[in-house]
Amino acid sequence: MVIKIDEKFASVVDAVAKEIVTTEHFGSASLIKVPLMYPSGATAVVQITHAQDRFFVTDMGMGHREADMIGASTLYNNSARPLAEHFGVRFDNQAFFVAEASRDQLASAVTIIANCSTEAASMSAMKAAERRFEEDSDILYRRLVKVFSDAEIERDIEFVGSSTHKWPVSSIVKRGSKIALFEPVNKYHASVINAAVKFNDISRLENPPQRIAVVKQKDELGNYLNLLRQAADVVEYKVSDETIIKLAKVA
Amino acid sequence: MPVDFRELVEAPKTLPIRPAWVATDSTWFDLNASLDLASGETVQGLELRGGACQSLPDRAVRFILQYYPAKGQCVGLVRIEWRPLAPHTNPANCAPHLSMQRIVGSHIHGFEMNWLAGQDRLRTNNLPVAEALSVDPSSFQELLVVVGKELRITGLEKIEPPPWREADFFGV
Repeated sequence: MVIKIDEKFASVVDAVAKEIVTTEHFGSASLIKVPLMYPSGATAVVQITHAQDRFFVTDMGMGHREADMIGASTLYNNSARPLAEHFGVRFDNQAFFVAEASRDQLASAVTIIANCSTEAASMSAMKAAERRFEEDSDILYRRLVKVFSDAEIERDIEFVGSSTHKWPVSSIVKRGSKIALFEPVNKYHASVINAAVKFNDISRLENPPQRIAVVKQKDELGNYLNLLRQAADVVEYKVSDETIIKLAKVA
Repeated sequence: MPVDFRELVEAPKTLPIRPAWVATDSTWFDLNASLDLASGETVQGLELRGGACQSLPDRAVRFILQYYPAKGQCVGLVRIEWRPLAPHTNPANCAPHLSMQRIVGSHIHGFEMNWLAGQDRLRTNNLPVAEALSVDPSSFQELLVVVGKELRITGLEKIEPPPWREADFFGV
């Protein structure tokens, strides 16, 4: 049976394919724009130059510049090095490159360089977002030292849950044998889910510590609040010192 | 007290000193400029960043108004890309006339189009929504006029064009 091809539709699809991969030439160098996006929405560009039958392929540091725009160039480098190693390409703290690709390797070299560049930029953007948690963690600590003594507070420690998984916890208050865990939680999905899973696991311990989620504004959370309070008390930063002491149950 | 990004964007601003292009590696120029408000205050963390490719005259120039405090995240507020090397693609979840638009030429990542009013914050991922510039500047000087208008900065004519060189064997 012969399947009739819808020529009109096929031509639309062909046109789209040509639209999303384009080239531009500058005498000694050519650029290929590939359908991979940086987090900002910019399309990845790979430059090719050649000497006889060997080709030099680079992202020109475009991924690095994407990360630099959000103040994440160090994070970019940290992500880029293992990616370069994994794919067997080079990274010079600025650009990904393949120094001497053959014609047979050229398509793969372009693909790998473009993917490394966009992947490292995405990873650095995600890590930059995680920094927000660290800032929240600082705010929480400053709030706790108004209530408890410095010696009673430990920061950034690991706490083993019922599953035996070690959870990173922002702040722990210890007074004698009593322990309370404090965790900053923001309104975003990843933050809430991370805290909820952590608190649920820790709450299943035989003698679980007090668990307190600290948020900026409860009304920002919507029904995430219901999820959070399944295994933790939830308070805003602005509650009184007495409330924090009472919830910690370390008095 | 949280920073009012809209206020920073909308406030008239000037350049207290003439910024210069600096070659930050073998491919790119960068420019970093402090900004003054009408009160004469040089605002902490507020800056104009520029970027250009060393060997591509009148191509791939970018200007960004950004807030980058000593402690905290760098937040892009408005960005203009002049004749960029690569197209930009908008996400699907933005205004209908911008949704999934692919913009090949000069464009602006504006503040309002990236502001999520219901959540009182900018979209994540550095101003992912853009629209084509209504008039594509035909020269670097014209670009400065557009940047000055969109970013509300006067005196940008102080900025010299990047000291471009022609592309060489090693590419752009």
